[in-house]
Amino acid sequence: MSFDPQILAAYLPELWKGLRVTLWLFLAIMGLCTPIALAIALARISGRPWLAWAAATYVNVIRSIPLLVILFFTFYGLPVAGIYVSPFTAAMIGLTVCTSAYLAEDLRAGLMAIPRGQYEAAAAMGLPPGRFVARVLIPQALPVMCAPYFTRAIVSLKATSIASMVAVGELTSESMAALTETYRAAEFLGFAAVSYLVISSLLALLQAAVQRAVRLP
Amino acid sequence: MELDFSVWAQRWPYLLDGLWMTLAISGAVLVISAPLAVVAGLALVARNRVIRGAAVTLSWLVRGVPPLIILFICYFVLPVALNLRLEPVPAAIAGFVIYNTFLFGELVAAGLRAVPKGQHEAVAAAGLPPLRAFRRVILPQAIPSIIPPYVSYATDMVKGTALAGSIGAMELVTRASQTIIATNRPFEILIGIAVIYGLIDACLIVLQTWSERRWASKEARRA
Repeated sequence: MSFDPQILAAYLPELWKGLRVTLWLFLAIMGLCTPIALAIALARISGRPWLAWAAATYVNVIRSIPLLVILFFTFYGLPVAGIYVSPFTAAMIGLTVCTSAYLAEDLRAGLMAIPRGQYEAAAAMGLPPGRFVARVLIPQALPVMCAPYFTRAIVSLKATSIASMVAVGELTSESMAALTETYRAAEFLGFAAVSYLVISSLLALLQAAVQRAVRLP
Repeated sequence: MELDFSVWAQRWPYLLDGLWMTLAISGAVLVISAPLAVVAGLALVARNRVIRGAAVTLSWLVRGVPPLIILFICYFVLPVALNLRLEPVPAAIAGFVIYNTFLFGELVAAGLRAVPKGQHEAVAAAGLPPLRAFRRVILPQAIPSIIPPYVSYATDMVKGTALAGSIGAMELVTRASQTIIATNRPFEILIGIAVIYGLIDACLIVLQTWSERRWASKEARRA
């Protein structure tokens, strides 16, 4: 088997375009997921039965369905329901729905780490709930939530590759297109693998930096 | 838009074959990767620096790459590199096994690290042969902390087999997507598929609760 990395040069524009789509997709879903997941996690610990029940149902139903099936819902289903969106948007919605359910569980574990007495103290002092979440709960939960958050981010980065199965021209799909044109599997899959590896390793480095920054005094 | 589940009446034999394929791939991956994960876990905590370094590097490589890319490598690169023919299903199983060995391996390593150091010293002081010490003393103590995350990873693994369709293994989701294209009934098909995966998930959760209780009670008996 010959390995000829020179072939990559000829396809660099396509691969670069795919890499950019992957990064945008990843940033979009993390940007959307973070507030949604936080809201779901807060709903689950809110103490309001119907709100907690709705959030738990969402999390449990979504987590029992394969991501690919959720992407098929948005890719095949939305047009049938009369909603026409680009494959990128369909994949973004599907990935957001899926990741927010998993991330909500990760964040909930962090919120649960805060001692019960803090809630009672805030209630006793008459602190409004919104203020309590922003000024007491989240600052203390951040150090605990940091590691699971970045682990989830790396999982969702890798999950963006599945968008290639619903016609999104991201890194995996551009690499596969080049592979089918040239039959050079090792070169193009190697390029894709190394790209994902570099981004996920950068995320791990970012995690270490953020963890240092949010450490409690 | 109206839901009409009668498509299932005509298409279920085709989809059922996919379900068997999904279960067969999942079962094969679980059976093959469980012992490999124990080996990987041991290598990840090995005292020998070369073994540990190799295991940590391999684990970083495998876990930093999307499973889909690993499948493609197993299907397109491995046969050429090893000069053998690999059908879609064995290639898919190989890909998932490689990925899950290190995913589970990290769990095993974490479980082994949780066993108090004194236990290792005690088996050494008692002169127990290493293999017997591991099998009878160290591993049983690591298992309670490994089982719950293991079952949760296993449910992810079963759902992850949906990717096998990308290299031509005709499992449930691939057959579902072909049925959607043939019938243009995405919601009916996908809701049915979601229910099937929900049931598989429910079975695994029952298994998890049962195993947690079993291992926990063993712990309690020992204490």
